[in-house]
Amino acid sequence: MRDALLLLLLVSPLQLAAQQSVERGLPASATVSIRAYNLAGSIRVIGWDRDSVHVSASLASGSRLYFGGSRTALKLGVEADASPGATPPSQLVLQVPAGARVWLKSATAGADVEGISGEVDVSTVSGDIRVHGEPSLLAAESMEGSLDIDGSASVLRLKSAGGSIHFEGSAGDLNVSTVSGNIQLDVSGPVETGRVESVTGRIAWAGPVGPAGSLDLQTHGAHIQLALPRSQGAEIDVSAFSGKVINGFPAARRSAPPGKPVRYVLGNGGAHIAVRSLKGGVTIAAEQ
Amino acid sequence: MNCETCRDLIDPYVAGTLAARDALALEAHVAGCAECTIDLAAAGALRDPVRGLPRRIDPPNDLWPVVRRRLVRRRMPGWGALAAAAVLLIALSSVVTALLLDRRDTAAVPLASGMAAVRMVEAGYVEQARELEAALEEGRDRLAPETIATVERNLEVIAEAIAESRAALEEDPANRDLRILLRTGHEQRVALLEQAVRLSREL
Repeated sequence: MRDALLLLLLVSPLQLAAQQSVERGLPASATVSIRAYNLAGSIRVIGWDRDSVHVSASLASGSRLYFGGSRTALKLGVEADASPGATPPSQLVLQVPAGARVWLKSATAGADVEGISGEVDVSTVSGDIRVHGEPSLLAAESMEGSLDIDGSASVLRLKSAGGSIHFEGSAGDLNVSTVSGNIQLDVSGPVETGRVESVTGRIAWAGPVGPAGSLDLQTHGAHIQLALPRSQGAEIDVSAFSGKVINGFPAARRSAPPGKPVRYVLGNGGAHIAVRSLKGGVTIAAEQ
Repeated sequence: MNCETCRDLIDPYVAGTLAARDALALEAHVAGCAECTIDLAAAGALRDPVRGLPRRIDPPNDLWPVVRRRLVRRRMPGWGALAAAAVLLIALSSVVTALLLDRRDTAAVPLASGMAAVRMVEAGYVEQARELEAALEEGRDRLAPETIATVERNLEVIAEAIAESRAALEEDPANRDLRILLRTGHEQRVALLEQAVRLSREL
């Protein structure tokens, strides 16, 4: 017990000294462009209804906050003396005008964005990305981190290599891609143009496609699950070369012209949906 | 019409099965889009719909930058890329020449087709990937070993998928969906390498 107390007394001051808190603020335009870097730890951006940027950082020992720019363009980030793979974790919290254009870059740091209505561009190596809100355009990519997006964007670009992708909300123009991560899309509004692809990651789509819209779901070796509203009108072309196709949509009319993919027609047609899998199966179902 | 829709319609257009309204929309788009002109050239033979095209289509002024961008993104192309670009341009000029001559017969314009066309398109991607791999090698030290491992692991997954798609396509060279799967595999490989190179330069 005495040893434990002694250890606590020795370690606590070191830990306190190891973290340094920094607060900075700057007036900013309502649509300020912000570029922020934090390689390790976390980075959080919150949109607020003020014409200013406030930065709150908890910096690891040997790390510094750099911060510069103007009312319309701002660049900030955490610098460390360590090599890229050994950067100690720092925490960065930004409060920015909701209409800001935000660009974030990290390596292992997780990125969390909420309440931004301007354009958002987030990139990490292995940090998880979470975005909540209604950015006008959202581009998020991670090599290995997962993407969890909740909200709406007129243009949505999501990409990962090994991380999973989950989107819940609406997007007019949607492009989602992984190599080996699974993709789960729960779409609430009609998509006009959608392209979803993976190599070995499972794809699950649930939601409507606009009457004149097009949706392309494609994987090399995984299963594709396509769930559409019961009222959806569409022509669905399915090419599953070695996997099984299961049609759980009772109203779908099936046709298989020679040399063409199997086609299912829902209602009076309208939207065009293409589903391709070389090795995986395909399930078509009505949304619950 | 956007490029994605256009690419989806190229095969039925070439086969002459596309509805007239869609064919007109495709022709209007292709006339002003260098990338889709290349896709159309690589898709194989042009048949009857050629007659419906305008008598004269001038190659877009910015054709070369588009070809070049497809082959190499960041560096001067190697001989392989130049050769692939030359083949593409030759194929394209055949189309343009045929159109200029206002061919009225229904014979197919002699273009590369089947696996030859596939290999031609693949050559561009392969060269592009090779250049990106060299750039990644240069920036390798700036990436964590775990990141390199992730990139390599996923590249292996993609390489296997490409090989399987190609094998399937060799069995059925005219299959449009297999061609799309193969092309997507190459696109994913290039996109992953681009992402890794970008990370090595920005972090």
